[in-house]
Amino acid sequence: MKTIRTIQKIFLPILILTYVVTSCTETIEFEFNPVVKPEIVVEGHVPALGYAEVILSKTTEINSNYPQDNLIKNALVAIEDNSGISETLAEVSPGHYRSNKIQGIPGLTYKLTIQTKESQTVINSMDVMPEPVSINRLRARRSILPEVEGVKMPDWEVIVEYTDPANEVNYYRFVEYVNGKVIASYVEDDKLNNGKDNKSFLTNFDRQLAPGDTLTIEMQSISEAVYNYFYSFSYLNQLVQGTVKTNPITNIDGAELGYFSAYAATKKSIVIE
Amino acid sequence: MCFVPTILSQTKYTINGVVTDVTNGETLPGATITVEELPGVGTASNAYGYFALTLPEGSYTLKIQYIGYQTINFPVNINQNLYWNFKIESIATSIQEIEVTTYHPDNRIHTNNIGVEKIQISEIKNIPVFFGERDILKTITLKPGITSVRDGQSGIHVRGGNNSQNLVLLDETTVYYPYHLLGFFSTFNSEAIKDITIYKGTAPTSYGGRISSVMDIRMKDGNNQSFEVNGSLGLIASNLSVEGPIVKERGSFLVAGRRTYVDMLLKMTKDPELSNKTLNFYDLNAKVNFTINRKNRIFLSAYTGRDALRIPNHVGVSWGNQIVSFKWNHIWHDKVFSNTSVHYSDFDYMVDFEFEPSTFSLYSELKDLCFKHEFQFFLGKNNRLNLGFDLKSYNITPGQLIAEEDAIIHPVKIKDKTARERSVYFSNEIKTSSNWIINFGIRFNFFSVYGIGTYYIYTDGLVTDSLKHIAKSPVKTYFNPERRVNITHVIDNKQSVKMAYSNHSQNIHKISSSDASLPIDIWLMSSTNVKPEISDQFTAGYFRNFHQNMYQFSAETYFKWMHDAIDLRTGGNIKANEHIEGELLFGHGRSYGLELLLKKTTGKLHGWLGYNLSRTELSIIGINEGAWYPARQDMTNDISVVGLYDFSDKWTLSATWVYQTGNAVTFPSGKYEINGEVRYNYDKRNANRMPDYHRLDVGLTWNLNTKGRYKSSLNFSVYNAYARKNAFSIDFKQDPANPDQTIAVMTYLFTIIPSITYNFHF
Repeated sequence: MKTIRTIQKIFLPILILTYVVTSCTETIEFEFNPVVKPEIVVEGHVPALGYAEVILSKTTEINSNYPQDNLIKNALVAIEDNSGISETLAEVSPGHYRSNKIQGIPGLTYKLTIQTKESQTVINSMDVMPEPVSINRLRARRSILPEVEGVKMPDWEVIVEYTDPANEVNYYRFVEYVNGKVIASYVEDDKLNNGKDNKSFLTNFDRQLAPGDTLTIEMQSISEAVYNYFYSFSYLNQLVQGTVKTNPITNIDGAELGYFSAYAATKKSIVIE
Repeated sequence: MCFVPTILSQTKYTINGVVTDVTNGETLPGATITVEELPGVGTASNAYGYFALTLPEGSYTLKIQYIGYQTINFPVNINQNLYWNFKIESIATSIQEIEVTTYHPDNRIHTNNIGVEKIQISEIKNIPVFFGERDILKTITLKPGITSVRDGQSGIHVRGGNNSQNLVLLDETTVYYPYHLLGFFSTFNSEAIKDITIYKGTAPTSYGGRISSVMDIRMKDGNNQSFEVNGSLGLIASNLSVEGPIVKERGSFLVAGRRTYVDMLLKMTKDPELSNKTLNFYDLNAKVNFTINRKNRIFLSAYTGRDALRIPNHVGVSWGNQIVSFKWNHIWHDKVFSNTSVHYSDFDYMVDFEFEPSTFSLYSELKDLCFKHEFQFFLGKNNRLNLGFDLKSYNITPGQLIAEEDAIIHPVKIKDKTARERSVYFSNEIKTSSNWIINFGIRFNFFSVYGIGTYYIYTDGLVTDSLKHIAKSPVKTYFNPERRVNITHVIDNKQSVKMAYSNHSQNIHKISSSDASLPIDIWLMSSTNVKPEISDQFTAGYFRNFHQNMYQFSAETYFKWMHDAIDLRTGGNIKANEHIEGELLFGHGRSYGLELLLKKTTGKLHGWLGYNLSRTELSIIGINEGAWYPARQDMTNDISVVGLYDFSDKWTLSATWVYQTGNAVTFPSGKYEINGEVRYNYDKRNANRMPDYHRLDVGLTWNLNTKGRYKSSLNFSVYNAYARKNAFSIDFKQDPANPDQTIAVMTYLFTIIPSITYNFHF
């Protein structure tokens, strides 16, 4: 049985209300924990109609330069799909591996296998690519949330409208670009609104937009496992978890950090007025 | 059952009655009645002020003592059964100024109480307050072993237990969410409350249902002598109470109300957007009692309170408790007292979302109805037996999503959960002639889950089995015999040693997504997946009084095991989730510590000094690979200092200072980059500490009118007087000036908060 998380997003406003009291922040002197053993980080993508890409790195000291020394070179990275195609990815730049042959197709299952000198065990993962869903309408408007002194409120609201397919369980990841640069990403499921015409509010307290900016939303259809991974980073989850900080739930076996996502995406852009 | 080989042929008579305050007729529970001629013989009044003492025929001097009251010596010739009501006078209201009494009552050495704290509301009236509101749930956290979750948040940890493991009772009725404004204040209006007793360890067998503590809060009965009005005007709230006789000496009433005006403050802000917000709470307490005759007395208490927070066109949240209880005290016989009561408690919350194009709501409710019947037998001069049972029925409506046809979401309706809990209990307290007090008892608890429907079995969060239940019989029944023993050895008049073992079970569980308690937390019952939480606690302590009881010292150690503790899976969803039980993790907890308390009870300078050295750890399957790790509330050192100084009858200065080791939290060790963003690696659960917490509060009470009928006072309080920035949370981000460096950003809520309250009485 699958987990249901969507409803938590409706708790966001309540949690904001909790902090309506003037809270203040301040940078403090802090002694960080040392890195005892560097962990391997896997970032793997198979986009629909695109080449597979995998980035391998290691965690580093919290105040060291990043990431030059921490990319994992000369690893054996292989991907195979359930149509029988398999390929060993070429290292196109240090730590970056890319396919030449394999291109993502919705409905297919992708298997990732990684062997590195850094790890005794073979790292592997699997993901199924969902069907793409397109954005009907993209809007941006000035926030109508009230201003409260001392409390940061979002300046802009971005609303994505789409029609959720009724016959399947869907998970989405919205990647937000401003003038071509990635700003943030958001995840959503359809547990409570399956088959509905949806209006998704992408809540971002740090979003800054100016007239003339191009806002692009890439809507990725993702698997449940990838949704769970990104959900861990969501602003809402951070609020709900409070000070209980944990690493996200990964779909990688043999490594603690990272994810492997086979996704199908559609895009829409608007120019801010 | 005679442990004392007294002269059996002697004729014995019983003196019984009620101990009350002479000025307002309030009953005084826990007043001690001792016999000067027979050391070690005595009794204490019960929760309704009733006592009975059986003595051999003869002439005696009875000594009636109660903290804060003048001790009276009552010469009596016992040659028949006697009914006598003792009316004693509070030191505070006594007309003649008795500066130094040579004898201070003791309520610690000779009582068989360990891990128990009792606070009368009158004791705390001069303690500095937060935002002008006296709050009994805030004050109790100044006692060792009791800590609050965080600044501005609700929740109390008692001896390492989490905040859902405290049984909060108002006139013996469960209060499910005793907080206003998401935790700034408790729901207990100090004008309506008589006292609070907290059982940190062994609670009497008449209490059950939570594994950490019992907080027994009693409402005032109301003045049965004359009419009285009390009130206060504070910065954010005001309250008013009226009490008086219905029939003088025989019946009285009390009505107390309180409301905030935070929304009025919002209206004063320059932002017009804010002025239409709702942010308020109110509560109302009412109580009536009537003494029908010497043998029968009835009580009716009620409480209602509600919070409302609303931003138009966005969201509205409201929650509240409704409580009613009816009690009937009956004296069957001089030595047999009974209380029969019916209790109803209801907690609900409603969240309205007013997003375009349509609105939807989330609603949840918890109700319980309880019937309780208890007998107290005052056997012999040193034997007391309690016998009783209670029947409780629960109904939980889990988070329901209510949505119109055209709403952007589908409605979700999860089946109500119902259960019945039956308990039968007894306890017997025996005082031996060799200065031992032994209390042993057992509470048999049966908890049965009912309801037709499908019950799922989860393994690792997945449904692995399901069970269709169509019968009216229970789906699942848990039985727990809760064993409790208290032993006190009174070494002499100044010192005693005590020890206790207790076993508690809990079938109503609360699942929070954070450590603070929120009104939207989820209530669950024990079920096919969730087992009852069980605690076992051993306590041992040494109690010593000095200087005619002016100084009281105690040292207590405890070791508590918590079995079948419940935690939420990382990222687990708890709202409107039919399969919430699949999101839970189970494990064990343990907590141990040493609590020291030194109290100066009287004099111009009085107060206490508390210290707690403790450790609380959890071992949960699925977290930290099942290994023990510090619970968030693990607090190595906890110090509280409470000092009150009466300059004169016009001025009282007070100060409280607390120091606590920072909470156990997880800080990152290492960083990495993914999707072009820097992320942190959290590996060891709760291996780090927040900065230590400390805070000084100062208060000054100025009694404006002390003579005459109209009395008034001004209370000035400064919360966090030296403006310590206590960390609420610490977050990490890359230094914008140097992206290689990580900076720690601390959020704190309050620095210095002054407040002023005007109190009046006539």
